[in-house]
Amino acid sequence: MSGERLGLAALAVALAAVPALAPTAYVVTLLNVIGLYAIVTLGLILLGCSGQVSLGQAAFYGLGAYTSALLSRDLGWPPAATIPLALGLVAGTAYVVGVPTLRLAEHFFVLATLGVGIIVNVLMVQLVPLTGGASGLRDIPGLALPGVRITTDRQFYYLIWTLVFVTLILARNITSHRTGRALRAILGSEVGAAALGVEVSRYKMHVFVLSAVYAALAGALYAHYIRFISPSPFSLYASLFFLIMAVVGGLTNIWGGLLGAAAVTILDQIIRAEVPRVFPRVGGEYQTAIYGILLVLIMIFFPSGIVRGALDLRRLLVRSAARPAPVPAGAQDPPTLGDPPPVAPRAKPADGGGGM
Amino acid sequence: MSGALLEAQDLSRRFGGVVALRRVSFAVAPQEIVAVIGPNGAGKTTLFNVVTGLLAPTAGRIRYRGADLAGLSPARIAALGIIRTFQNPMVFGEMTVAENVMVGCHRWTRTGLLAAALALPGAIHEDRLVSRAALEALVLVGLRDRAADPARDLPAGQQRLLEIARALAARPTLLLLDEPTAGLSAGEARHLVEVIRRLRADGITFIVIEHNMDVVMEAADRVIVLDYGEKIAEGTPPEIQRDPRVIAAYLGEEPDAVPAAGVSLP
Repeated sequence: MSGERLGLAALAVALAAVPALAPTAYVVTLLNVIGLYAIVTLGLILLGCSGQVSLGQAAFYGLGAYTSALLSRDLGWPPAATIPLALGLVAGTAYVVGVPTLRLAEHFFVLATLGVGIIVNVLMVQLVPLTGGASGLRDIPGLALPGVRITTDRQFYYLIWTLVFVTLILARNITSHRTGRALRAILGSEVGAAALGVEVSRYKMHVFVLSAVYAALAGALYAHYIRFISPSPFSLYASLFFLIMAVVGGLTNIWGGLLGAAAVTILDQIIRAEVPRVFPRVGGEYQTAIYGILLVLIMIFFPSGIVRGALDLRRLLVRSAARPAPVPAGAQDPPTLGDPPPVAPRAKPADGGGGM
Repeated sequence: MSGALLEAQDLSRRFGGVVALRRVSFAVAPQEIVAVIGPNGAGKTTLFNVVTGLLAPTAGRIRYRGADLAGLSPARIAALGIIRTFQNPMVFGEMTVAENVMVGCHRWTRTGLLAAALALPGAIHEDRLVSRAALEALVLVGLRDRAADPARDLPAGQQRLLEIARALAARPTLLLLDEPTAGLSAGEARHLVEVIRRLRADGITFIVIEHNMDVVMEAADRVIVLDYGEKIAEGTPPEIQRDPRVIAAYLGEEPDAVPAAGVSLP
């Protein structure tokens, strides 16, 4: 799908140029945060492809952050080793959480992940000798990969966005091959998928563990980037925030992960900055409320996410503009998940090889 | 029958107090086309659910190529080559028609999470193979033109054909079709019978739940009749047509009340 590749390349070039063109350091910092959230959201969207939803993603994000922070700070191990260790530990945790909970029906699975999120957050606050409790962990070592020290916002920007691209491409590849088809089949009908030999629970487990690893990667990067962590960014509210990003992006749309993370983060920033100016006397709760209303509106008008919503809108406009001479539906189909099957012209019925 | 591909022995299934299957035994030989008929609620679909592992039998056992299927998950049973379609088609609505059929190829492909993530050459190659196989299956059922459409846009009859194409893409040894001709036009049904016969010649064995008696008479080698969960008759289509118990079941009479002779199917 060359259109998608082109888009990816254009985005990469644009993002690479940002630090040089950015008017303020704030833009780079904001993009770093968006990048970290995008990685978590991509994990959630992979999970969403199989029809699952997690409200405990901040727990894995936090576990990644705390594990890498503690190992590097208290044991003096290099982050190049502690980050992979954190990913491994979180993968193991997700597996242990998944064994009993993935058997549950959808909404019970969501509740189970919610419970895990709460437990992990309580432990972060309560295990004071280990985690420093509510006051958090200071003096986390910065990133020193072999040969390079990554300390400035700008250096982190390149690292984070490289990893965003890597995780994006991995996720895209997964969804467009056998595994991804199996996951989407599970979303369509678990019984139907199993009847074709898809090991439903195994696939659910794989993608759940993978989504946790995505969150842990973002968390570990966060810890070494900010160099201070406390329980609050890993609370239930953060899990909800991630889920909203995924839903806004379109729960099964890989590209939506990027856009959802960006849109929600920027929206959040705008609301935080603008609401106190417009309504000087209202408290922080009202900001959250306005934010909630905007999200409800998005859900009503773009139920399958803003990306899909915008594409549908465009298709609708194109169709109504071209009403006198309707364009065949396939001709302007926007790029969606997965490569569309190669389709030879209708005139050649028998040998399917023509299109390949 | 030692040469049987599938052999069911005293198969029973209860739902609480309701007996959906009562001591049903039958065998299916390789490359046979067996039709299962019976009034609504006779236990036909329950039989399919038990054979494919969706329901565990309350009693009795099923052997496939001599091996007991007890305790195997639906996915494991599918992996052995027993593939089914559903009475209410279970298409994956958000995927395209072609992608639906590509999922059918899951059984005989190997690309894992890692190979897919890294888009290894093996994964790419396998994907090409799979999309070709999917298109071939779609050509067979006459859905080639709809390959790129979302599966949910197909009318019910075509969803049924899609499910059959998907099942064929799985390269089954034993194919269980649940009312495959429902919602099809007479012409489409005839075409389907032809396809089934051709595939039988290629080595596939069929068990077909069917209401359309013309299709049963034309396609089946043997017919099994279920009524209230019991097998009341088994034989060639002409034998079944003459069987008084079958006639009674379809007319809704008690077997005792059936006259000894002189009754034919309406």
